[in-house]
Amino acid sequence: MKTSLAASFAAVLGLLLCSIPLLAHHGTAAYDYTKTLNVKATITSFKWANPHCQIEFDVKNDAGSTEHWNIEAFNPAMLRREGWNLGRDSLKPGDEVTISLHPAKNGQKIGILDEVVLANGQVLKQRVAQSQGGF
Amino acid sequence: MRNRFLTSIVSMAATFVLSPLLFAQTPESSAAKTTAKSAKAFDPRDLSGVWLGNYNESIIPNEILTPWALAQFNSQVTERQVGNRPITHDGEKNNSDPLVNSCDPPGVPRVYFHPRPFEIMQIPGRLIFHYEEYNTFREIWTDGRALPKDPDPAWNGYSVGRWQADTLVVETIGFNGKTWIDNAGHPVTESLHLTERFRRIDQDHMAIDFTFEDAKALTQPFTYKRVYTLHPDWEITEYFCTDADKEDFYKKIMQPAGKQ
Repeated sequence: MKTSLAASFAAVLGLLLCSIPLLAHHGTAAYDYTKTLNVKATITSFKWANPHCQIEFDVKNDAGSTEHWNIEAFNPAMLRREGWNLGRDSLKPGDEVTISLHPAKNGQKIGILDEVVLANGQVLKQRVAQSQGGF
Repeated sequence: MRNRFLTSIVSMAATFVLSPLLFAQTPESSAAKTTAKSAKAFDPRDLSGVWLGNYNESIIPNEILTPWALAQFNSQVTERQVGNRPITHDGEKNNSDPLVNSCDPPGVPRVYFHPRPFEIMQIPGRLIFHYEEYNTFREIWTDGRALPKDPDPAWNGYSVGRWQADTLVVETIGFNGKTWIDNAGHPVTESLHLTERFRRIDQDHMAIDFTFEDAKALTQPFTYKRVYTLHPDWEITEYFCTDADKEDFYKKIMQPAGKQ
């Protein structure tokens, strides 16, 4: 009982720690992983390509004007292995979604994806431990 | 009882937080974890399948580097924080990592230390490895031939292998010295002699021990061990590095994100 509880706790902790993509061959030092922005967004384009997918979207900010963002996501093979079954059709221009992202430290409207929640409630994420295929 | 439980939780949490080997697995721990699950019979001389290992930053300890190799290592400038090396905020142009600033092949053994899978195919006289990273192919000759005396320098070197009981021992020489051993930037030189020992632990796991001998870069041989996991339902996906893809990603993401 004691062993399995400790093991489950450690497994959860390990998963949480592994979910931070600290290591990427192009380097993710540019992003602030202590910040997660959650925004209601309209997709303008979705590039399904190596080395990294790119998601462009518009967000209405508090002042009522539109911000245009471009964020990176894992490569196509990795996203498929994380459950993005529709591949390049996962996101289409005009889709209304909620995006969680870690923004660039320099304030540019650039970031790295955490997860997307589609209008139908489906969650597309990229937070699986590195042992599942990394990036 | 309760204190011991809390102590084990805290120490386990501390281990996860502090251990630099967080993402490495030992053959023993991985094998123990999955013994119950993987009691299926398997042929230890069958290495075929799609395998995956974790990402790893640094394989070689700096303490065993020659002065030349240490200087090489310290001169690299990348976007990642490695020790006290300065980092660049330029994702590509002023980045010394050949995997980032060009479409050069990752080479062996660096291709193993990216968390992208590889497939092993066994045919008579050869094993063929297909690594997803930059669509890298590699042949390991098992037809009894010796290593060549003076091979042409190559990104992946020239490899021969032989079975010793249930361990496949592969030796590779003939590297061109243009790649890194690992993602931290330890250099491959033309004098590297790499030995890989493959041992299938169980149905789902394969251990690879990498032994590095390089008089130009290392003051002593060094062995790095890790375990790879079988993914029977995965296929290797095409991943070519192209200038156009790199340039697009650099212009749209890396350059704006790196502006200071």
